[in-house]
Amino acid sequence: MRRLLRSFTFRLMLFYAGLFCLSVGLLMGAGYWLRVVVPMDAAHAMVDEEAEEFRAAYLAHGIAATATALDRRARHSDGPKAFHALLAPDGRVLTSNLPSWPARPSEQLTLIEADTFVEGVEIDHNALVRDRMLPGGARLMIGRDVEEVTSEAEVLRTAAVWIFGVTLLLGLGGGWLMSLAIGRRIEAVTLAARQVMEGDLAGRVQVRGSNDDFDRLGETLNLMLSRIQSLFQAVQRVSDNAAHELRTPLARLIGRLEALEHMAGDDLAMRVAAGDAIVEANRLRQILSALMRISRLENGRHPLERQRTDVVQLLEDLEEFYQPEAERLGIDLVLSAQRPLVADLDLDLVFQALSNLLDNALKHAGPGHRVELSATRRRGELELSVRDDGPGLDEDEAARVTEQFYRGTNSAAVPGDGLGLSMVAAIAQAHGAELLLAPAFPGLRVSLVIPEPRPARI
Amino acid sequence: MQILLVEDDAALAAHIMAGVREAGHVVEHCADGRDALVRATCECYDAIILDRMLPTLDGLKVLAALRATDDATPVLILSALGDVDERVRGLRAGGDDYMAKPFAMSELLARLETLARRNAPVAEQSSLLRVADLEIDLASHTVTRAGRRIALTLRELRIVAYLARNAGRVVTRTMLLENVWDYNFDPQTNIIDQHISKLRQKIAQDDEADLIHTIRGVGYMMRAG
Repeated sequence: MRRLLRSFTFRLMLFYAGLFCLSVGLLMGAGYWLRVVVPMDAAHAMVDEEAEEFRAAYLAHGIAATATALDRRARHSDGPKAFHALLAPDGRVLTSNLPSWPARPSEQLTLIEADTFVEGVEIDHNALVRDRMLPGGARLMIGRDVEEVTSEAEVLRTAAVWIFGVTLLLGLGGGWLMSLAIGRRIEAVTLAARQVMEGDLAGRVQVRGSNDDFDRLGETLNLMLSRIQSLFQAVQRVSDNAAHELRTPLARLIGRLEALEHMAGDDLAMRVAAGDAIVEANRLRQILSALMRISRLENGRHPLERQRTDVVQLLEDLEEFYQPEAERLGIDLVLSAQRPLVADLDLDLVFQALSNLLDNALKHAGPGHRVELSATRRRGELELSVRDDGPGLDEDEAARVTEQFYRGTNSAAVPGDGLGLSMVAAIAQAHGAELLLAPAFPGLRVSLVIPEPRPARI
Repeated sequence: MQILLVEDDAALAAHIMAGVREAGHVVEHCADGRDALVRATCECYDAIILDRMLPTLDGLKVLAALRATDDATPVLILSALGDVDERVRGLRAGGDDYMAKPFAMSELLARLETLARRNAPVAEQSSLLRVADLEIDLASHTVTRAGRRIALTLRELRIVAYLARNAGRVVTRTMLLENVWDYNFDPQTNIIDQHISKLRQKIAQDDEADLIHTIRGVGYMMRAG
């Protein structure tokens, strides 16, 4: 329901239904005014005028003459049927063609049911009556038949309820159906976009072949996606070739440097120089490998191979791998995770990410400090964290550490190429995970928050 | 050993051939995929060094065609595509080992030696390994030196077993990482060195000779003295 209310199509239909209801309302209002309000006002004016005339006649000619005049009016008046009742001060009815009236007079105009019987047939009348007390205690009621007007009003009110109800129902139903129909077509575009965003560049919008607006939009988007795919493949070929073209000369360079080192024989200075050059060439190779890998992850060209993973085992293996280095550095490396903790992960990638985080933590924490590796699950998310109580990071640095080649102010004396956290960020992105850096008071806590993979919506 | 080198870069091929010949092996060279497939199916080699990006026929296709004929010659894939996922692809395609360019010649030779040993299954399958007075019983997970029992973790046992299986040959850090740990990843620093250091302390105590030797810039070798 919430999704339906959020649908633009549905809201548009609601707007149109509202607009239609307003139009119908205005039309019916105009009709009501013409057919009910105007005639009723005319009847008001007429009854008031006649009441005033008969009051004057009563004052001028007395109660008996007034009764006679009232009878004459009932028999011979033009326009709607005339009604009256004249009561003497002692309550006797001197003349009346009204079947009943209120016990007490009111100064208001009153509607009185005044049905008549002609040859056994009941004829409905509604009398609009001015009910007044006359000087001396007599009571005069003067009225006119407004049955036609009240019936019209009733019909118009009933019609309004039905018309508004049906219009609203049609609006809502139509809106829902249109929202469903258009929503499906838009969903096809969304689905294709998501597929491409997840790295499957072969994703395309499903076209029905009806050549309608959506088909044309889908075809245009598909052409665009095909173009993007071919450009992307071209970039991929270029980067693969670049990798090849860079790695092979590097291989040759290292080969020649090794030969140089070999030829140096007893020339220690030459051997050291060649050795240093080999180290630099290897560092170049590592940077190139890391850059290529980050690029493949970011571009969705590294397909995730999720497998059911015992997360605690993964952390134990990491802890075991880094424990000797932690001991060498005088750092207390601890693990905090409880079985059972199972998740669908790309084992190698998550191991790589946590390895980079641990590596950073051990490098920056310093002797005598503590590094904690932990895993928790809450609300369908798995949180893997590496926390240290070292110097930590300020807010500006924390915002930049995932940039390629960025090295923080505390990293000058620490070996590294500034790509470790970029790779972690790329691995997080590939898993649809969040990479969070937060102060740990003291130190830093870096977390990978990995959502449980959901089955794809069809 | 009789080795076939399939590499389209002439300068690199010359460098590899020089290194392999210097190590005492016989090496033949070809520069394209189709030629490589013809030679590999007609001749008998102890090992093949195969580049991935080749003219006429891609290296992995050559490998697949070779494995389709039930040819089990050990193949060392040599490629500029060096990411972990590419490495996994190469090994799944039937490669026995995978090396990324650029590489150190010493590592290439070490890996070739290890590949060749696969043709010696008896030694491979033995559950009792000996190097000097160090004895490793894989069946009972016990390691003793001159009768002294050495307490090792399971990982340390795997490291020492891998070194012992390749006794007398260079084992690089990458080879240890690939064969002892069950994860494909690139550690940022040489953590392997710390593991070896701890292992050394456990294996060689007091005045016992060190059996694990560091080969500078390459890796390690287990040998007596």
